Amino acid sequence: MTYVQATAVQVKEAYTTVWRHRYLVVLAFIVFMAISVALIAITPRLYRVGANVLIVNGNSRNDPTLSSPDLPTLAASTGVLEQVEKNLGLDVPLATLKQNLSAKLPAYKSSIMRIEYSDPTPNGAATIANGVADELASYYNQLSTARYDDDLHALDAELVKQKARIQSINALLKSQGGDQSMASEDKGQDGLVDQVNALQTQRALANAELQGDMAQAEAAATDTRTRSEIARRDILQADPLYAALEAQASESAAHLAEFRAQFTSNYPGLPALQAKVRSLQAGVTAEAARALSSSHAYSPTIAAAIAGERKAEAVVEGDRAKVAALDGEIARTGSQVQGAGTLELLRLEREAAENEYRSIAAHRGATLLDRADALSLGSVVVIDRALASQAQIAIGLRRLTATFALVSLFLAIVCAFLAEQMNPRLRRATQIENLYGKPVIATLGR
Amino acid sequence: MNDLNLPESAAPEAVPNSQLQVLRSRVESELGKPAVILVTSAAGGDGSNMTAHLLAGCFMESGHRTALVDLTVSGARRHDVTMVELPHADGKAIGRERLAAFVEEMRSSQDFTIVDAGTFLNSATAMALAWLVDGILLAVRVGRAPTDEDELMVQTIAHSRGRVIGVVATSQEAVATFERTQANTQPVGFETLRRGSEPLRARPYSLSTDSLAKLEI
Repeated sequence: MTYVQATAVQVKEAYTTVWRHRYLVVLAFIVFMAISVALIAITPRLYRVGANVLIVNGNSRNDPTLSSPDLPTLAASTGVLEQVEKNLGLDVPLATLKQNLSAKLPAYKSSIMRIEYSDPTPNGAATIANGVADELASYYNQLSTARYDDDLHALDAELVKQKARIQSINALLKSQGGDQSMASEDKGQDGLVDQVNALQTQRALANAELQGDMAQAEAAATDTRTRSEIARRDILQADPLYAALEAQASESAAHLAEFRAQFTSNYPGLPALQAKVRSLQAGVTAEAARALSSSHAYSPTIAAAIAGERKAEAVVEGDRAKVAALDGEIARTGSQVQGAGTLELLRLEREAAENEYRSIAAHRGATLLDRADALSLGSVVVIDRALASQAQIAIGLRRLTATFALVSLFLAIVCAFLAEQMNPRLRRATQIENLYGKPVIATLGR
Repeated sequence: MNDLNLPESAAPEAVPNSQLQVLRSRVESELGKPAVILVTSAAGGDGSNMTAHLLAGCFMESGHRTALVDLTVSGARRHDVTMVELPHADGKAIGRERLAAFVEEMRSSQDFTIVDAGTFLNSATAMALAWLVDGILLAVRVGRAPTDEDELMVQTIAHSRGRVIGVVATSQEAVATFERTQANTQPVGFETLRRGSEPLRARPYSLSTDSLAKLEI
């Protein structure tokens, strides 16, 4: 028997078996179909719909730090889903949301990501899918511009602070009247300053003159002292009594020194000699005083020197008075200048505050541009919103029913073969051959 | 001598002629001639009688000298002949010698001798003939449950070293149709050999299209 013939025999046997158990097949099919229909009826249906979002990636320096591979994770993040629940008023656990949500990476060289959601109702699936897509776009944009927003908030706060500072300075200036007589104040201020400067110049000149006069006065005093000593010595040398007394005193002092050199302090003649020396020195001093104070002791040189010294001292005193006067004038004028400097400082401070305000405003403008740049260069845009449809997960109801019908038919046929196998009756040639151990050589009857 | 009209009576409508030709061809090619063929079954109703009759008719129709020996009691419905069953005690001692002579006689006189033994385990003659004949055909009805008798029959034949040619699967419908036909009509074309009371008298008939040659053992 060829392979084809054997196959034909097997097919015929299979057909015969099924036909033999046709009632069982029909019954089993009905039962399985009933079970299938019941399963379909009680099985909760899940509808899956999706929304498409376009991912715009930026390539400039301002592009967001997020990239496409992060987006599925971002879409299923707790932050996004919590906001979706809040926006839609859902009462679904986050875990369920995450489980039913599907966000897959865009295909290669594609920038479209699909966000799908499974829900027992078509409308619920579409609503949540759209909600997630919208929230993802918003959240992504928020993340993209977050750092610029922080900068803007800080710059705005600084601008407010600078504005308040300027207003405060303006109020202070207004209270001090500096704001109205600005030009005249400026002129008066300039005059006072010039005056102070002139006074300080004069004081410097006067001080220099004082120092010079003081030096001259010192020199005159030194000269007077030198001239007086010379004149004194001349007067005393011209006095015979003074000369005699000084000679005696010198002789006695020499004797005393000799005795001290030759004898101890216990020498009996020493005290007398010491007394004599002291007496002679006292006489010398008295005679010197008398001689210097006598009418014969006048010296025109000394008198001229003393006069010069006193003149110099008078000049110095005059210079000192001038310097003191200049100091007083400078102090008075300086106080006027000091009063006028407070306003200037306030104006300077206001000017600095205004400059700083303008700088911050310029920085804020640049930040706004960067933020707009980031928004345009990196964003997520919902391009295809999910629509509620009857598309169920896996296959539809009709296909599912057809599939169950096929499966039921298959199972029914399997039941026929099972029944055939379980039936101990001799139905096939193989059974007979197994039983007798001999081949079936013929069949009689149909 | 009786004229034969075998095809009409022996081949009921339930059995296509092609099936009979297949059976005849397999037996003829397996054994050659002359041959004595024992047709038996493990249980009643398996169609051994139908198989034997149809096979004998087929051989006869094909021009062979053919004898059909009926050892069953089914003929009682058709004839008032007495079916003789050899006592089991002397079946081996006496019956085998006589059966051996019978088989030899049939070989010498017939091309094919078909012995319808009926249920194998119920017939000591069938069991005695199992090792004497040239081949054994086992008839089994499709659709019946296997029984212990099936295994016992196979074991018995194996012990007696009988040569089983093969199994003939019969359908219940064909068997029923054949038995109904046989019950209502007198067999024509050949006479079945009956074993009567002692002594055993087997009267095989040579089946031909022209005449029946009566044989005596």
